[in-house]
Parts: sequence; structure tokens; C-alpha cells
Amino acid sequence: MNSFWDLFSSVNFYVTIISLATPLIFASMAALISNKAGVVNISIEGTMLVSALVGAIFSTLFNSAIMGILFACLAGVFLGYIFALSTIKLRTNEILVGIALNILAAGLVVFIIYALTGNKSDYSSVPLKTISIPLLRDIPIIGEIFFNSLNLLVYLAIVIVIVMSFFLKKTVLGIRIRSVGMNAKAVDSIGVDSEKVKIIALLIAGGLAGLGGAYMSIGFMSSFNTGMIAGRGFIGLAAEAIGAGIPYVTALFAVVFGLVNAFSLTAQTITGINIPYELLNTLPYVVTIIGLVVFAVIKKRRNKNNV
Amino acid sequence: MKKTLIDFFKIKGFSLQKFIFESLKTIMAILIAYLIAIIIILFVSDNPSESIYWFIIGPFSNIMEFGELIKKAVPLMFAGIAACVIVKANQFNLFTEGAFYIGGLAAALIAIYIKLPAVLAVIAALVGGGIVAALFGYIPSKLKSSLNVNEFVSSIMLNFIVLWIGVYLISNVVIDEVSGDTATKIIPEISKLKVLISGTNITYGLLIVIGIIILVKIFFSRTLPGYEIKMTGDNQRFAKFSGINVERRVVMAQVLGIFIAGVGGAAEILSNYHRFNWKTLPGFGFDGFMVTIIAKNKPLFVPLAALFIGYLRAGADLMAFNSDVAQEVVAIIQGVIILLIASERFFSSSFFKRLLDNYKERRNHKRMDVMKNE
Repeated sequence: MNSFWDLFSSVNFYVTIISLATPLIFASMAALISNKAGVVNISIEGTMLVSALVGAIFSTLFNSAIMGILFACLAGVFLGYIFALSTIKLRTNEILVGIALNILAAGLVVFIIYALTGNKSDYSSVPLKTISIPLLRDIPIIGEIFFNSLNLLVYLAIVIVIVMSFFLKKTVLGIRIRSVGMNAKAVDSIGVDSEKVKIIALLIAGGLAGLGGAYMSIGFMSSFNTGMIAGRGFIGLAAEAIGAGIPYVTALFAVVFGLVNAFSLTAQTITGINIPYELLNTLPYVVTIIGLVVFAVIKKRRNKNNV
Repeated sequence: MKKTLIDFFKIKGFSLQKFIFESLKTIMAILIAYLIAIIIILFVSDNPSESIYWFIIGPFSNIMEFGELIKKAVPLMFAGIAACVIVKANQFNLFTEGAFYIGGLAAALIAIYIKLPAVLAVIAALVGGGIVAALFGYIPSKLKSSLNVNEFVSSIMLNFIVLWIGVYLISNVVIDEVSGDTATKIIPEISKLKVLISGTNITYGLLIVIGIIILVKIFFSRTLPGYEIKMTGDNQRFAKFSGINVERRVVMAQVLGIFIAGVGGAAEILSNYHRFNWKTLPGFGFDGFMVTIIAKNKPLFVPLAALFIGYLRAGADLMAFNSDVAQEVVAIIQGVIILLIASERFFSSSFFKRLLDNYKERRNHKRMDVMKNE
């Protein structure tokens, strides 16, 4: 690869963007639904890590990627349940629960891998096959990008964004979740159990984070690695904060972060710029902070104008 | 006039009942966590009795192992007191993690490249590490106070940024090719923290961190800025209306905490490493928050909590070395302990009150039933 133009005109680059944006979309949707229910859920990172491992283990156990995804999702729901239990039933500070679960997850995965294999970092999985859709894949460029080299979970992520938007706006449960986030006492006063609604939202968030984790170990790579989540759960939180709670905008920012990530991975191959890969690796995180700052400035200005 | 101990505590604003409840709760949490860990060990280990022996008794088997326990606890004390200062202002700035990394790196570089006489060399490295960390730590705290950017997310992003900058430096700029590793040159002996108790690995870092903990305690109970930080943490709106410059105190608490974490990273490198060679985040930042949760955010309890976690880890290391269980089993214990200790309802006075209420209610129902039947 020789120049920026080559990079941006290659189909592979766009496929990489979509692949890297997918886990962020799952994470940001998990953050979104928790936030709508009025809970700051920072355990998404740990949930993704554990479910990535669970997915890898069960995919090899059943020799089926789909089973892996299913169990990863269940593991996510289970961790979501622990989070909900601690924050809602035991009244623990959300951030502290999140920190506890993240610490727990980081140790737990190493412990499980060691107990199963004797090494401490990797566990190979049965990867998900890419889907190639006949006819559609023959559309020039778009067909190559969208219908030839992506897997099931990528399409699922896109569907989830659409469903999430519909779910929060049009369904009873979705509206209840949003109202709980706005004013839990008001919801209680009309006879709806706000705690129950919150728990459901957190279970859904756990399941989504679980899918994100499964995508990392089964969809994106063909093995689990203890460092593979690398802050993606937190970037999902950032995307949600910048997206102001709107599913489509949140997903858009997840894609932007995916783009930056893809760029940081592939930019070394461009001749002419000699940025070492260590510094390129900081790019997604730098852009996340910049995004948060820009969003905060815009929000502050808007508030000022309103006053 | 008879003054009992309880009266004395009341005057000092200290509730004995609450203290007993909190202690009982902590002990219960630890017991439950240990029970879970032992069950797990029984499942995975081929020789569980030996594993459990090393895990629980091992750290006390001789002075060397006990020294390991203290050595493991020292960075946890640094991280714990750093997190304590930050949490006092009700902030969750996790850059303490990156501060350990960058503080350690800065200290190593200062020690290697700036030649100073004996004591000055150590002080320069420690303080330099703290200052470099605090400079980075200023970013998320300032963003929080003036733009209301979530410090949690931004500080975690900053951790990764600092890590990769550090890895870049030690693998390209300050690399010592002779070492055969991506690491800095050897840190000169003159800048290192000497061993405090011979026969162990305990260094002067222990004294430094105890000094810092005492200073923090004095800062919060005797000085105005400390008091204002506490007020801000308890109720930010109230603090603002009472005329406290809330934004400044929020930044101050975070930068101070991160400075301490940076010194902690420096002390860790100057105590236990020949070269700076960290290629991943050390994890102490998160541990610090765990320590301060267990210490109920009281500075003087931080050393105890850190010693406890140090004991867990020293035991787990011995177990991993002598048997077939990975030391990461401590992560499960730690997670369970924090979840239970941090919860408001687990084993609290209200927990018992609810039990009592339930009991009374049931008794009343029974009475009602009896009355109905009559």
C-alpha cells in the first residue's frame, strides 16, 4: 500500500472498519439501554471479557460457533444479573460494582483458562463463517463490502441498533425503561415496579455485552486472548455519551471509533508516514477523549443558549 | 460523674454500634469470599489440602514469605491512599492506573539520566514520578470540573494512551540494546530504595507510604482544603452553596491522588526493579479503588486493607508455585469481598432491622390469625 488514497479505496479497509465497529456497537447499545434505565454500567468491559471466553469455550465444546454465541450471551445475561442484584437489591454504588466486576472478570478468565488448558492467555475457538449472499455480492464495491465478507454477528449488530430504536420508542417495556431512568418514583407511583424494569434493562445490557464479547473471540478472531477487549467496553460507554442516548447516533460514533481503530491498525502500511505502531495504537483512545470533549463543549453551549 | 467508653466515643462523633456492624460486615464478607474460594479450589485442585495450606498459612511460614506479603502490600497502600483521596471528593478517576505506569517510568528515567548525590537522587526520582503523573492526571480532572466530561471514561482512555507512549519510549527511545529486552538501562544503585529489614524485600517504600497516609489523614481532619474536599464529596450542591470553590476542590483531590499514585509507581520501580520494563498496565490503579472500598474510605484503614490484599496475593502466589491452582483465584475472592462490603444492604443495621420487621410482621399476622379463629 502506498498512499492514503490506496488505503481509503481498498475494500478491505472498509471491511476492517465494520469489523472493528461491531463490538463497539454491541458495547454502546449495552451502555445505552443501561443509561436509559438510569444506571451507569461500567461492568460492560468485564462482561465482554468473560463472555468472550465463555463463547470460545462452548464453541469448541459443541464444535459450533452458534452455540458459543448463545452461551456467551447467556454468560453476559448472568453477569448483568449479578450487576443488577448488587446495585438494585443490595444497593451498592454502581461504579463500585462495576470496578469489582471488572477486577473479577480479569482474574476469572485467566483462572478458567489455566484450569482448562494450563496456559494463561489464549484459548482457541471455532470461528463464525463469513456470509456471502448471492446476487447482492455482485453489486460493485457495496456488494463486496457488505455482502461478501461479514459474518452473522455484524448483521445482528445492525439489526439490534434498529430494534433498539424501535424498542425504546414504541414498546411498553421500552417506554417504561426510559421513564424509570427519568424518574423511578413516578413510575412506582403508577403501579409499575421500577426495580423490576431496571433489572430487565440490565439483563438486556448484559446480553448485548455478551454478544460483543462473543464477536471478539468467535467472529473477529478465531481465539480468545486475555487482552482482546482492550477498553472496547469503555469506548462503547464513550460512544453512548457522545451519541446522547440516540441509538442511531450512538451507532454512528461506534463506527467512527471503528474507523479510527482500523486506521491505526493499517496506517503503518502506508509508505511515507513513519509513525511507530505504538503511537498509532493511542489513536482510538485519543479520538475518544476528543469526542467526549467536543460533545461536552456543544452541550455546554446549548445549555447556555437555552438559559 | 461517670464517663463510659461509649460516651467518650459519642463526643468524638464516633458510633461504636456502627463500627461494630461495619467490622462484622467486613469479616462476614471475607468469610463468605474465602468459603467460595475454598470450594473452587476443592473442585480444580488435585491436592486441595496442600493448596489450601499454602494459600492460607503460607505467607506466615517464615520471615521471607512474610516480607513478600509486606512487599506486595506497599504498592497497594500507595494505590489505596491515592484512590482514597479521589473518592473522598466522590470522583472516580482511574488514572491512578496510568499514574503508576508513567510515574515508574519517569522515576526510572530521572534516576538513569540525571546525576544527583545520594538522597537527592531518590527524592528527585520519587517526586519527579509523582509530578509527571499529576501533569497527565490534570487532564481528566480539569475536563470533569470545567466541561463535566465523565472522568471515569476519559481517565481510562488516558491509561491506554500513557501505556502506549511508555511502550514506545522503552522500545525505541530509551531502550538499552544490551538488555535483550525492551527495557531502560539499569537503574543506578544510588537512586534505589534500600532494604529496610534485612532478610526480606521490604524497602524504605513502606516508611514513605506510611508517612503519606498520616499526612493524608492530617490533611482531611485538620486542614481547610481537606475539609472542603470532604464536603464536596458528601454533597456537591450543598458545598457549592456554602461558598466552597467546588471545581477547584474536585481538581485538587484528583491531582493529589494521582500524584500519590505516581510516587507509588516510582517507589515500586526503585524498590523492586533493575530496569523499567513494564509492557502492560500494572493493575495497581484498580486495586487501589478496591483497597479503599475495603477500608471504607478511611485513610488509617488503608494499610490494613492493603495488608489483607497483600496477604491474599502472597498466599495465592505460594499456592500457584507449590500446587496446581492459578493465583488468579484471588480475583474471585476480591470481587466477592468488594461486592459485599460496598453494598449498603448486606449485613447492615438496616439488614437486621428488616429481618426484625419481617419477623414482627409475621408474628402480628399469626396473632391476627389466632384472633380471627377465636
